[in-house]
Amino acid sequence: MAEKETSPIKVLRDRHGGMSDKLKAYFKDQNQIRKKMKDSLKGGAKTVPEIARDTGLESPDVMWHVMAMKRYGDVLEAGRSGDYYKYELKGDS
Amino acid sequence: MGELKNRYDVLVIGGGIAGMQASLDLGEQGYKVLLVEKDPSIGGIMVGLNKVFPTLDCSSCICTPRMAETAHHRNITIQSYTEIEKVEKKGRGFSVKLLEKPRYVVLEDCIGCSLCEYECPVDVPHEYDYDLGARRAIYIPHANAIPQVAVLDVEHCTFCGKCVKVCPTDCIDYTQEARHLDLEVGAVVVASGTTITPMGAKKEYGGDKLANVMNPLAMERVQSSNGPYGHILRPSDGKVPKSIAYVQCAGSRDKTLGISYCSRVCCMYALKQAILTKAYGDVDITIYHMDIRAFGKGFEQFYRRAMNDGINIVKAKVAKITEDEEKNPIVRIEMIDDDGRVEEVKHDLVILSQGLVPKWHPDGQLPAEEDTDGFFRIPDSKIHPTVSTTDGIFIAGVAAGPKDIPDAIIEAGSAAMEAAIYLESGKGAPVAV
Amino acid sequence: MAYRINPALAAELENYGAANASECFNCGNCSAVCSLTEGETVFPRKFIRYMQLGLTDKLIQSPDPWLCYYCGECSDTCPREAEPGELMMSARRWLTGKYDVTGLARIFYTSSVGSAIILVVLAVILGLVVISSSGSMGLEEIALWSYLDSHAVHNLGLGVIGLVVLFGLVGVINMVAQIGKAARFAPRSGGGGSDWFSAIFSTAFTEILGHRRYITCDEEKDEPWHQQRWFVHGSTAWGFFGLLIATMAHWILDMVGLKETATWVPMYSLPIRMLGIVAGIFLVYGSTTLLMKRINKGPDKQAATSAPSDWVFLLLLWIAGITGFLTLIGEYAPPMAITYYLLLIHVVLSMELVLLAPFTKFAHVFYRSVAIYIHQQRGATKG
Ligand SMILES: Cc1cc2nc3c(=O)[nH]c(=O)nc-3n(C[C@H](O)[C@H](O)[C@H](O)COP(=O)(O)OP(=O)(O)OC[C@H]3O[C@@H](n4cnc5c(N)ncnc54)[C@H](O)[C@@H]3O)c2cc1C
Ligand code: SF4
Ligand code: SF4
Repeated sequence: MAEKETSPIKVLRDRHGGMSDKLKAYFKDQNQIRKKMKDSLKGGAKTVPEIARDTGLESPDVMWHVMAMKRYGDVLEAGRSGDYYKYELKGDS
Repeated sequence: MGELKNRYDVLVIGGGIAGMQASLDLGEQGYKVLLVEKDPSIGGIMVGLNKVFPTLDCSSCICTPRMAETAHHRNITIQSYTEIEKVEKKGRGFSVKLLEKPRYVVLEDCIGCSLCEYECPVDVPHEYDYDLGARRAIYIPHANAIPQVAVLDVEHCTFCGKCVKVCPTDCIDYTQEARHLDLEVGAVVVASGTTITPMGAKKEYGGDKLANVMNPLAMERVQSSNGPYGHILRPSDGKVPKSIAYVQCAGSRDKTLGISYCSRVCCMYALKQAILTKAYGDVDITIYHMDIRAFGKGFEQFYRRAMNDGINIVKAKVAKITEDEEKNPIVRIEMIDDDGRVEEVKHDLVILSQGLVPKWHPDGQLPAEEDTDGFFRIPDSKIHPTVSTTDGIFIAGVAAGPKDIPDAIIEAGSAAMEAAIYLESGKGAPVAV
Repeated sequence: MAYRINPALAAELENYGAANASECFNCGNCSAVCSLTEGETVFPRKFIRYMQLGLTDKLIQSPDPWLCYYCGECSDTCPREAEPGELMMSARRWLTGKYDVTGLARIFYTSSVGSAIILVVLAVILGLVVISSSGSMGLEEIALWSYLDSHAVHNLGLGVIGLVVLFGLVGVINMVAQIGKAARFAPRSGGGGSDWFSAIFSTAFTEILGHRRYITCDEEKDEPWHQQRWFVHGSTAWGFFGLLIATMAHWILDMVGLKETATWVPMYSLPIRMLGIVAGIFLVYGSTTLLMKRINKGPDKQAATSAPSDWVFLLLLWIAGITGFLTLIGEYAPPMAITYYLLLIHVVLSMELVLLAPFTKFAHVFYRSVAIYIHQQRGATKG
């Protein structure tokens, strides 16, 4: 099916006028945040406030992204420090 | 689950617990039922709850079997991800126009393996977890979803085409379009259910801007073992809360919100959540209330149990919620039962016990009247508590007014019986097309 | 202490305002949302409870109703729409009626017909007294004080002030005696009460002139500053006090023989006149805006319902202010007979305004000041 002249994904994209500017910004944001967070976690397991401090990101945003990354297997829970859980990068992700 | 035809005995609108029960009760009697659900999965609110009061049974463990039973019933056809466009009286029955939204996935072929979801690069706040967790732009609605079929959220699609490459059954179809469906039915059961008072409704409660002021349905998800966090954490920074407050009547019994009725379930779900959280952790829980309404069977005992478990029950209507620099919510109250002083109390997490408001206002799409409170009007509510203002349309569950699950189920049975009698009496029948 | 229950209290209060205490389900939202609660001085819920229970004594023995400024947040957010702010206002109207021994205050608060009759009869009497000693209206040149006899006016003024002091004092003594029954004058230990001097000082300057509570009240509002209640009410109050000082100054200078009323001695007259003009502008701005708000029944919550007493007070204030200004203009404009009539109206209605002070809305100036003083002195402890 991918061999056709206009591939189905192009049909979908054209029908919706491509990615909206809002989505482009959202996606770019997400990738930048993830990069900062991964860099920070390369230094070892951290709690959400520690990642926020380290990266300068807002802690509610860090919380959401940590949970998203945990859900899809990019980070793992790594014990607890006081009232906070710590998170670490999984394997080589 | 049968093929879609163009004639059914009964149209059931809404696939929550009430809609499923009504469908089953009609299907068991041999009536052909079309169950229309606007979300990608049936189950309604109940499938997302953690446990149910007052028995503390696991909610999805009760709900999922009902969902499966409904889906596999020979007399029930489920039309999910489909909106009601128009239901009109026609002859002795109703003509129905539906709009099936495109999933971009072929329902019959998807095996629910989630490979597409893992491949998709965009993370999106997940509605099912009230935005606390993430899903992808293409996703399986949730672990207990029926149908267990992926759906593509085209608003968040980057058009990268990765999902189609990994799908083992080639069922992703980017060319799908919305489908208009026309059919005829003999009677209608409306079970369109409920949603909670909007979190921003009361500006004194932070207008939905405070990170640690939480929606009670989101708390159900957070408490669930398959919830967004896997533990009870607060959303601002993942702290394990040591002090939690419930604000009762946050979205009910308040004329300034236009909601003067009692929503009936919020006292009980607050007690339930408090008991469960307390059971798992070393935490202080306070319920600020105007009066605790424990009206049903076993409820008073449940309330007493909560007090015996050490949950603080404080009579005070929370007037304002603010937050400090650490985003700890601060509630302002008058200590009515003490000496009447005004206090500001800091907590780690606050849950607003929001009320139940109607999910669907038909606005001309269905010929049944609304009452002043926005729920469907039941003209003869003492004798026929499920009969609407229009012959042949019956109402079940929270669509008729706030109630808990057992009451919604009883009503669904009653609505199904009313519909069956209506059809049997020859008053209603689908007109052939 | 035993309390007598008055089952008719709530019904009685309904005559004084537009709200019904039985709507309230005692949730405490109003007290907690109120920006004027301090420590254990907490209202309005408690007072609404007194109304529901018929606890007349509890209500009358507390200065706290006067510490409420009707910011209106309680009414905006009351889940029962019980109008707690209006209930507190009704309590103050009712209290004014209770403190007054003549019964006039009650008439002004509850009967428009009665109020109108008193107003007209009194104006006629005062007018006749003033006119009885009047001279001629010179039209070559405006000579106001050869038309009215300044001594007669001064003497009448003295009489009016005497009566006001008398009835004002009786009212205040009644109030204090009632509050005294609850014996709460001594500063409570650890309650943060002040000594009498600093209590007077902060009452007079921070509270009455500085409008501190009004400003606290307005912090949450987003109207422009010149429409905010603290400024509008402040303008009226500052204007009134300014004009009172200017008027008294003429009279005192006359008494001590420095300057006769009708004469122009620049050293004294100029500053007095300047004060009069500035204060007059404030008074007219303030009272006009207050009237407009009551006519429009908003935007402030407390402008939505008005008792006859509110109208009497505001109208007298406004007419006195306007006629004062017009007379001043008339002095410099080409000579017209109307200028003399304006002066006559100005003098008569100013007298009436002051004379009726203990019986109309005006009385809040005394009662609120006393309540604030008591509150300052005893500290924000339990009431
Ligand atoms: C936080 C919280 C906790 C609770 N805990 C408990 C508990 O422990 N025990 C208990 O007994 N009760 C509890 N309840 C109450 C319980 O959730 C409800 O009583 C029950 O879910 C109502 O079921 P329903 O089928 O009437 O409505 P819903 O569950 O709301 O289902 C309605 C369905 O109709 C669909 N729908 C709506 N409009 C349309 C339309 N126009 N077209 C097609 N489909 C439509 C919706 O998508 C939904 O799937 C709780 C409620 C809340 C908010
Ligand atoms: S159930 Fe409880 S919290 Fe909900 S509206 Fe009724 S009284 Fe308020
Ligand atoms: S007046 Fe309104 S806000 Fe105040 S206690 Fe009564 S019901 Fe609650």
